[in-house]
Amino acid sequence: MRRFSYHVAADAVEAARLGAEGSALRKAGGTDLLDRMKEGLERPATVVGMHRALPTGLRREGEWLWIGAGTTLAELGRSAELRRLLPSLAESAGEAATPAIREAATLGGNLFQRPRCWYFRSRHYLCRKKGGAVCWAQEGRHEHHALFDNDHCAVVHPANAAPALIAAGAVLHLVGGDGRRRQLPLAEAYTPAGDDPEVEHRLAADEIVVEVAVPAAALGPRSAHVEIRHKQSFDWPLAMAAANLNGRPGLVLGAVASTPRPVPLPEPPPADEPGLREWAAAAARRAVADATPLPGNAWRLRPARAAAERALLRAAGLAVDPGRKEER
Amino acid sequence: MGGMRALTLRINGDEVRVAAPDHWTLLEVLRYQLRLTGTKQGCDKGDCGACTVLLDGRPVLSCLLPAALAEGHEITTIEGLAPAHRARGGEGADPVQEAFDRTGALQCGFCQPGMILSARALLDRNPHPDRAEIRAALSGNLCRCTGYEQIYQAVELAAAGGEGRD
Repeated sequence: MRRFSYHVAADAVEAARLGAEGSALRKAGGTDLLDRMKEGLERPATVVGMHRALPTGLRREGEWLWIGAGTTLAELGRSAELRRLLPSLAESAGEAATPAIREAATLGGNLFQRPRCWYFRSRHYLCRKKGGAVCWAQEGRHEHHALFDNDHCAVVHPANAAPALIAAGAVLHLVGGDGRRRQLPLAEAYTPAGDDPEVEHRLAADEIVVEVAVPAAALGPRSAHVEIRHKQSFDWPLAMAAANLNGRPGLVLGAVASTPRPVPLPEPPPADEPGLREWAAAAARRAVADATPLPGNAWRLRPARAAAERALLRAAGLAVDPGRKEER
Repeated sequence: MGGMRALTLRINGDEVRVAAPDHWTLLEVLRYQLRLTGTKQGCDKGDCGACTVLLDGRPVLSCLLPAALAEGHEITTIEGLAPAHRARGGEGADPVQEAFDRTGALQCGFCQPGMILSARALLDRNPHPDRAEIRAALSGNLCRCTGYEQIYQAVELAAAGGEGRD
């Protein structure tokens, strides 16, 4: 790793301001940043540590559940309060990566980590995300790449926590380097790779997330997160989905497009179990109906559909039979 | 760019003062400043778990932790386990180390320090884990030799108080 100066920001405003200066980069848990620096993808002169600048923990205030952006995934996964209020987020955080990664990785870092495309992550490939003219995944290995919106850049959004938070209608609270504050719905925070592969979100260069607020209407036992992976642990999902049926029904797919992908659920779910199961199956079919898979990843449509259906069933409190043969 | 930083670290119960470059990780300070080479440098990017140490009793990857961030925390490396066990009135090595020995839970041994520390962290918060909990707790520690079975048996043996397989 190349030399850098390490500066610990005293507060969020300083972290926001210093992180926008020159080649500086901000570090929360560092599990993604240090990896990219060791790969030679990032060469900051200064790393701005945010561990003293970011709030941690959960609090109820007004009609919201507030989650500090510096809260680690391990803390979220262990939180009995979060398991009660937003089990989908507790499940996604508690199953991400490995125990040691989860002890360091933060919620804010999880939401804004860089994509895991192996061409983007290799310094030997100049791809569109790095200012190049080619998406190497299009003609190369792309089994883990996007099933939607993949004709320009085929990365998938890797944030495990994003689908659960978007399905719950979460809002980011941002602080700028000049002290300004604003709110941004998480559903509007990400930008598709087709617009500009080098831009991944709508935060300004001198803005950071300090808290994530979840509306009370989305809190309760009726939410779930499902990941389908090759391995049970320490693996990137083939597809993930989060459902929230506490208030307005929400379903969001992850790891299938360059941004988390909300799925319209036009009608309210039926009250009876047979009706609910058919409703969930129909929603899951719709979730992948307009996919445009690449030649080597069309097989992931089935796991994507299964993740969506299982998330809805689990959110509704219905059993999922993992041995059931999926509809072709 | 990238000057030296004076650090005061609490490692295995001792206060240690070192000067290290700003960009060094805790792993580099442990191995190359303090010669605590029980902490292994494997992938060096958070994938293998060989560099696992305990920070306030929780497993973290020292290869991804800037050394400056370890100040103010209690760091436990594999070298500190047996002395800590004896300081608590025990004999010999930590029961997890003893169990790894008795079950033959190693071949090349490279993953063993990280594996043992992850297991120790698990048993400290959950003294009687089931097999699924053991597998989950060790899921970030890769072993290329054993196939894991004896490692899981070792943790079960340590949880059972060392009674059993010899």
